[in-house]
Amino acid sequence: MLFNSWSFAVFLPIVFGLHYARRQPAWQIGVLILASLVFYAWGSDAQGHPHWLLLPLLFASTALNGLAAQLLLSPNTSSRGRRVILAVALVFNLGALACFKYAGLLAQLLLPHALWETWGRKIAGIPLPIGISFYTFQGISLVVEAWKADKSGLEGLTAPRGTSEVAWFQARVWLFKTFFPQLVAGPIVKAREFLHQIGPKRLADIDAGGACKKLALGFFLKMVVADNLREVTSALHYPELTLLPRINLLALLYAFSFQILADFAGYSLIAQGLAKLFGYELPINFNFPYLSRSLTEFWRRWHISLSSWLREYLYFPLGGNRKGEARTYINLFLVMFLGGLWHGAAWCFALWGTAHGLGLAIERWFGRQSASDKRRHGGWSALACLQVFVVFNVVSFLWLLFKFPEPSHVAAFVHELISHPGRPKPQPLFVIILFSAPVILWHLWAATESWRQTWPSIWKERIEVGAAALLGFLVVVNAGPSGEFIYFQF
Amino acid sequence: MKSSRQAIWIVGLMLTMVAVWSVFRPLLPHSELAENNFQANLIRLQAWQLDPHPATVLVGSSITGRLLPRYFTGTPLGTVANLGLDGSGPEAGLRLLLQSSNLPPVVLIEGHRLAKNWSTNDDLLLAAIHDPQFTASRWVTALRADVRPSSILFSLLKSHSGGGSVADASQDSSSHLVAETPIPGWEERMRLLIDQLRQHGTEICLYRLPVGRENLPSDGAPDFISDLAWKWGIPYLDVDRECKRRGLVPTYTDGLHMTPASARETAIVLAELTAKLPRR
Repeated sequence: MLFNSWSFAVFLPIVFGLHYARRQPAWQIGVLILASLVFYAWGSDAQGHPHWLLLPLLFASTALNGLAAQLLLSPNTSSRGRRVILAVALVFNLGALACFKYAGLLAQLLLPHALWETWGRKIAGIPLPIGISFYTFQGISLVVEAWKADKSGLEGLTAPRGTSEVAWFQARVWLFKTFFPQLVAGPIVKAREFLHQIGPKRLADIDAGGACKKLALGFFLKMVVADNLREVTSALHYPELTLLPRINLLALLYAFSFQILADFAGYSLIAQGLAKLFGYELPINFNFPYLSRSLTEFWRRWHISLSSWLREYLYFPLGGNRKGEARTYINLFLVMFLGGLWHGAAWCFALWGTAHGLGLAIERWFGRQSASDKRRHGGWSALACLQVFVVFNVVSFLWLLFKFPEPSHVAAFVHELISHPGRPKPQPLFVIILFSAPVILWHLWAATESWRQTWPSIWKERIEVGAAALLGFLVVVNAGPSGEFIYFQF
Repeated sequence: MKSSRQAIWIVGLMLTMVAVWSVFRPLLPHSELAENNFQANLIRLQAWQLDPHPATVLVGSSITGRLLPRYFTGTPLGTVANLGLDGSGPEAGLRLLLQSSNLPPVVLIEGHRLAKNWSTNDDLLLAAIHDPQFTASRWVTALRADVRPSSILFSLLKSHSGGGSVADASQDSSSHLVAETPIPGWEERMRLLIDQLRQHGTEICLYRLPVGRENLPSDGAPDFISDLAWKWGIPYLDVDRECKRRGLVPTYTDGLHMTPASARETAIVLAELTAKLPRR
C-alpha cells in the first residue's frame, strides 16, 4: 500500500481508531502487527503479482530473527551455541538478500553463457520482494544487538514476571520488524532505538502537532515536489536525451537531484509522522544533505539510518580506522561498494557506491574531512558556499549512475552536455525552477537556523503552523500524478 | 501552544484554505494550459466530464489540443469539448469516451496520430478518471486541474509571452522527434473503437489539420488519413486544404503545433466544414 493512495487514506483512520480503542499493550501491539501485514500485503506489483505472495518471506524472516534473538538472550544458551545461532541467522538474512535480490547478478557473473541463457535470465526475472533490503537489515540489527547484549538482555525485551515470555518477546519482535510506517522503505531502525518504546500508548500523549508538521512536509515533498519533477525528469532517458539542449540537460540533472531527495526524504518524514501518531519515534533519515561541504558530511546527512547501519554493523566490525591507514581505505571502499550494491543488483549501483568511496578516500587523504568538520559550525562564508556548490554538483553527477541503467547512457549524457548547445526549451525549465525552489528554500531555512534563534518562540511556532497548513493545502490542490516512491525498488 | 492545539490549527487552516479556494474558484483565472502533459490533459478531461456535456467532442493529440473550446464559441458547432491529449493519440481519447455513460452525438477524430503507440501517459489518463479525486472535484472545485496554482501561473506566463508552446514540450516533443514505429494492428484497433462508438449512434468524422511538417513519423503517406476514412466508411474533412483555399497561412510555435491565432482561425474552419456535413 502506498502512503499517497486512497486505500491508505481509509486504512489509516481505521487503524488509528482501533489502536487507541483499548489501552492494553497486547491489544495495541496486535492491532499494529495485523495492520502492518495488511499494509504489506495490499495491492500488486507492476506485473500483476499480488503482494500477499510475499508474506511467507516476511513471516520467515521475522520468525527466524525473533527465534534467534530469543535464544541469543537466553541464559541457558552456551557460548558455542550463541555463535552457531548468530552464524545461522546472519547466513539466513544475507542468503535471503542474495537469493531474492542478487541471484540474477550472481548468475550473470558465475554461470557460463549457455546456462545463463537458459536459467540465468529466469533467475534474474524473479521479482524483488518489496522492502526486503530494509526489513532484512533490521533483522540483522536485532540478532547482532542480541549477540552483543549481556545477560541483562536488551532494553524493551525483558518480559515482566507472570507473563508468557515467548509470546511477550515475539510480539515485540514482530512489531519491530513489521511496523508499517517504516516496513517498506525505512528509515532502517536499530533494535535498541525501537524496542524500548513499546508499551501502552495513550491518545493524550501523542505529539499531534509534530506529527502533522512531519506529515504535511513529507506529503508535500513527495506529492508536490517529487511527483511534479518526475514529469520532467522522465525525459532523462536514452536516446531521447540526445535531443535536449545543454541547459535543459543540466537543469534536468539538478531536477533529478531534488526529486530523489524530495521523494525519499518525503517518505521518511511521512513514516516519522505516522509513527508519532501511534506514539513511536523513528530516527531522522535526512538532515539537509545538500548543505554538505564535503562528501563525508553528505553521508552524515543522507539516508542517515543506512549509513549509520553500515558504519555500525559493517565498517566497525571490519576494523574501521583502527587497523592502519591502508586497511581504513580498504574498509571505506568495501563499505561504499556494498552500500552501492544494497541499492540494487546492478553494476551501476556498485559503481555509484565506489565513486562515493573514492571521493571519501580522496577527502581523507587530503584531510578535508577534519577541516570540514571544524568549519561546520563556523557559519556561512563564500568558501563554505563554494564547497556546498561543488559537493552538490559532484553528488548530482553521481546520481546519473542511479538514473541510467547503462554506463554508456551516462557517457551519452555527458557527451550531449558538452557538445549540444541548442535552444533552451522553456517549459521544462519552468517546471524545474518552480518545483525545485521548495527544496532550496527548505535548505535555506535550515541554513539560517542560527539567525532565527533570536526570534520570539511564539513567532516561530506560528510560522511553523502556518507553513504546515499551507503545505497541506498545496498537497490537496497542486499534487503531481501519483507515483511509487523511488526507494521502493531497493 | 500545546501540540494538540497546533494540530487543530494546522488541519483547520488547511481546510479553510481549501474551502476558500473552492468558493472563490469562479473569481480565479482558470488555466487552459498546464506545465505538464498530465495536468493539461486533466483540464480537458474535467471540462468534458464535469461541465455540461457538449454535443461535439474533438479527439486527437496535442495538435488538436491547440483548438481551445472557447475558439468555437459563435461557430456552428457552439460548445465543444477538446480531448486533444498532449503526449497521447486519438486512441486514448476514444477509450476515454467509451468509458463514459454519456456519449456525445458527434465525435471528430484527428487523423495525424492515429498510429501513435499506447504509452504510460495513456494509462495514467485512464486511471485518472477513475480516481476518487477526479469524482470529488465535481463538488470540491478546489481539486479541479484548472485552478492548480502552478498551472494558473504557467498559463499567465504563457499568455504574457504570446502563446508559445503548450504543454507538450517535455515529452511530446521528444516523442514526435524520435521516430516511433507503430505497433502492427493499430488500424484494426482503431476501427473497432470507431465501430463501437457508431453502434451507440455517435456520428464520426476524420479530419486533417495544418501541421508544420508534411509528414509526421507515424503518419505514413500524406493522404493516408483520407484513405483510412474511405476504408472505414466515415466522412473526411481536410481542414488543411480548406485553410489553404481560404488563403490562411498557419503559423507554428515549434514547427508542429499552431500558434493561438492560427488555432483560432483553424477552429472556425473546422466548425464550418463540420456543419456542412450531411446528417444522418
